[in-house]
Amino acid sequence: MFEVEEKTRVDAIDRTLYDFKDKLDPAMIVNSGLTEKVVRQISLEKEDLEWMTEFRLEALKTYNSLDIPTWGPPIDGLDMDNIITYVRPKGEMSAKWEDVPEDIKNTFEKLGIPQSERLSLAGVGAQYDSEIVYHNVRKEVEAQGVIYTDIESALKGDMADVVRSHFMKLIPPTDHKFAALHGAVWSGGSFVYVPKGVSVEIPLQSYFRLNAPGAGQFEHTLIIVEDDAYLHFIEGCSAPKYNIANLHAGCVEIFIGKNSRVRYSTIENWSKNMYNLNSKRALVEEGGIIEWVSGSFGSHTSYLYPMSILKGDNSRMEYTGITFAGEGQELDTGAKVIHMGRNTSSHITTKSISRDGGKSNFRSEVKITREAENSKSAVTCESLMLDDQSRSDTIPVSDIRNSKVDIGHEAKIGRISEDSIFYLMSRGLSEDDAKALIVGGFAEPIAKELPVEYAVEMNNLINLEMKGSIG
Amino acid sequence: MSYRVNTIPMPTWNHLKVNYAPDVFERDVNKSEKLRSYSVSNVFDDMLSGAGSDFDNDVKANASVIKCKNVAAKSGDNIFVSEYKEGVVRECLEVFDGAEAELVQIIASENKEQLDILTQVYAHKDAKVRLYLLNLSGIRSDVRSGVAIKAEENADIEVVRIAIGSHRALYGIRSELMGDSSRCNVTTAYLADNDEVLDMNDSTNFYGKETFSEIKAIGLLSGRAYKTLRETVDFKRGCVHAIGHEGEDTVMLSDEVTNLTTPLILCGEEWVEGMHAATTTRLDDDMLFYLQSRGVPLRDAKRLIIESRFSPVVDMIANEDIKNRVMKSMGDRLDALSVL
Repeated sequence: MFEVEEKTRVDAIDRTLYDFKDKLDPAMIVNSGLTEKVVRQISLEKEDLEWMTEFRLEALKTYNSLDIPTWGPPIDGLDMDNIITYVRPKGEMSAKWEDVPEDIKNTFEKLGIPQSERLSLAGVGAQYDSEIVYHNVRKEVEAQGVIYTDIESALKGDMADVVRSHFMKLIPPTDHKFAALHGAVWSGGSFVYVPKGVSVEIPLQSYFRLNAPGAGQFEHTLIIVEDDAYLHFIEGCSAPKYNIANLHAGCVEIFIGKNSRVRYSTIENWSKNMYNLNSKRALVEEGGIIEWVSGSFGSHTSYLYPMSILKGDNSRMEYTGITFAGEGQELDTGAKVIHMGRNTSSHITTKSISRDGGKSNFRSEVKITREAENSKSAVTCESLMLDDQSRSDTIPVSDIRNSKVDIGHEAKIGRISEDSIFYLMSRGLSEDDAKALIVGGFAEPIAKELPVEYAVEMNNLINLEMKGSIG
Repeated sequence: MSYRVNTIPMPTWNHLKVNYAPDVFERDVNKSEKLRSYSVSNVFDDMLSGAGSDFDNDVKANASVIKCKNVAAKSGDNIFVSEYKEGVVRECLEVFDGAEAELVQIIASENKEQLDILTQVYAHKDAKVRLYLLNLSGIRSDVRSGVAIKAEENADIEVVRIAIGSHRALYGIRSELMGDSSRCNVTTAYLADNDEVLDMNDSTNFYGKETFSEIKAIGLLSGRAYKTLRETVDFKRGCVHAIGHEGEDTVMLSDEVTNLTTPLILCGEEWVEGMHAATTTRLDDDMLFYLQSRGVPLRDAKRLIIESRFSPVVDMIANEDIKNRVMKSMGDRLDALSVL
């Protein structure tokens, strides 16, 4: 009556595309652990302005005063005493690939970053360990008044006052323990400024590569898009796998002006020893739109919930995400949205796949404030279980404080339909191919939101994962 | 000892204030009129209610009223009606193989009375149980109700909860579907108005194969009511072909309401189907317009729509006298609504 199929199981294949390691050869590295001395050393190394040094030290105090989250996946394997918070690679930041040190350049070439820049990007920032090593933007985009640079330069350049007035204002160090950690030891990241009325037709991309074992990466991305403008920003990240924990606690802050639109796409493919405790937040003014597209494939443990604050009337948010949790992974992902303006709308669509003992959690918060009348929100969450060793949990919360709203939430958990497999097999596909096709179809609504080359990368990642577990 | 109730099995962000009911409880044992000693069947020993083990232990230790029923026959006479106003109550119902029973629990507290009640239902193989939890209390009372249900193979349990009373009402129903093909449905109609606090924590744990559970709620919130609904379907490894559905359909009449909903689906088994669907809306303008165009005054039109939303739940009550009493209480509450 309860037939359970036999399953073929194949060992996970090497993720050689991302798993190559460079010899650790930094220009400077701090001792592991998080102390005032280490924070001061980072500040000195980065030639911080005085206010930033004070900011870091205050954030450190906040970090020490806050507790580890009690609600998420376990992070017992993360011991800050063993984390190196700053590793400066050799060489200075350059706008030419040929000036980047050979081994680092080779790394990014293997990852296909220079090729992507030539083919489909308006600008690229490449970070290696704690510092940006390459930053460039197309002349025609620069001519539109768009600024795309490393954030350290921005903090001391013509836009210094603007950067200072926005830096960690959306995600203050008091927000949570790892925001405080970020505030204390942040390094690297990008600053983007899009002037009023400018549409950046081709995406900008920042790529973050963490090479040093036992290190943390704490890049800060600050995006300011003025009124009536458009930007597509792509974030990619990867690291080789080590036997010790690495940490990523980046921070992304996006300010979206009236009637502007920002699309923020992420393909996260950290190695499976990584604790990815990242924070992303957007503030959207009247008529503005934030679109998050997120693919989470890597990491040992992830806490990742981009948050949108729909401050202005008629502002909108869309979140489209996919999570693929395999052996040894617990990926806790989702989204948060706060409706503050009238006639605001949010749409959260997520898919998750769990296989080979992986745990995939979907967590969300939809808050409708008393002022946000005529708001609409729809949350759709689908989870696919590929075996009975894995877990998939959904923990959505809605907090509604206005009666003139339309709020809907749907969640579905299940396995691959036997009927669908049977149908595809009756059309000549093998069982494995049928399942791979169904999983590909399950992820397709997310893939179609990505630029073609990133959709291809995502599909390759899914195929890679599927080859490790034909279930 | 102080403790919290209605804790969800997997916590989320603390700032949302849904991980457990906001209040911390502590009983003044000096005022407790507990029974010196009593015994119940040991099948109830390890059962856990949705309110939580601390609440269960508190009631077990301080109960002033104990009611235990065993049912071994399939008979239309196995209908038990209890009515409570205040105190600490433990009520146990064990229904043996193939037997049927109906337990009607009416809570009719008045003024500032407080009632803590733990209800435990054990359904053996092929047993059929109907449990009606009817809180028709006045709006100044405090009620805490924990329900623990355990179902063996092919047992069928239907819970109907009418939650329209009390100033502070906390309910927690936890079902354990141990046996293959066992079922438990929980259907709730709730109404909260003024400054009332309504806190619910309903969950079903699936262990047996081909088990089924549906947890659904239809609600109306008005005034400055503060409502939290937690629903959980938890598929344990091995519960192949289990199906769990959750749903909530809420209408808000006021912008001062706080409406928190937390529908969890926890899944450790691949061969299952878990679904959740929830909507929060205002009263349907088109329907109101239609009724008004047919000559129905606005207030009556609103009331008609609200009553029609609740009626599928009220109609699940088989006993006509009890159903009429529920309808009367509901009518009184609708008459007194702060916003209509």
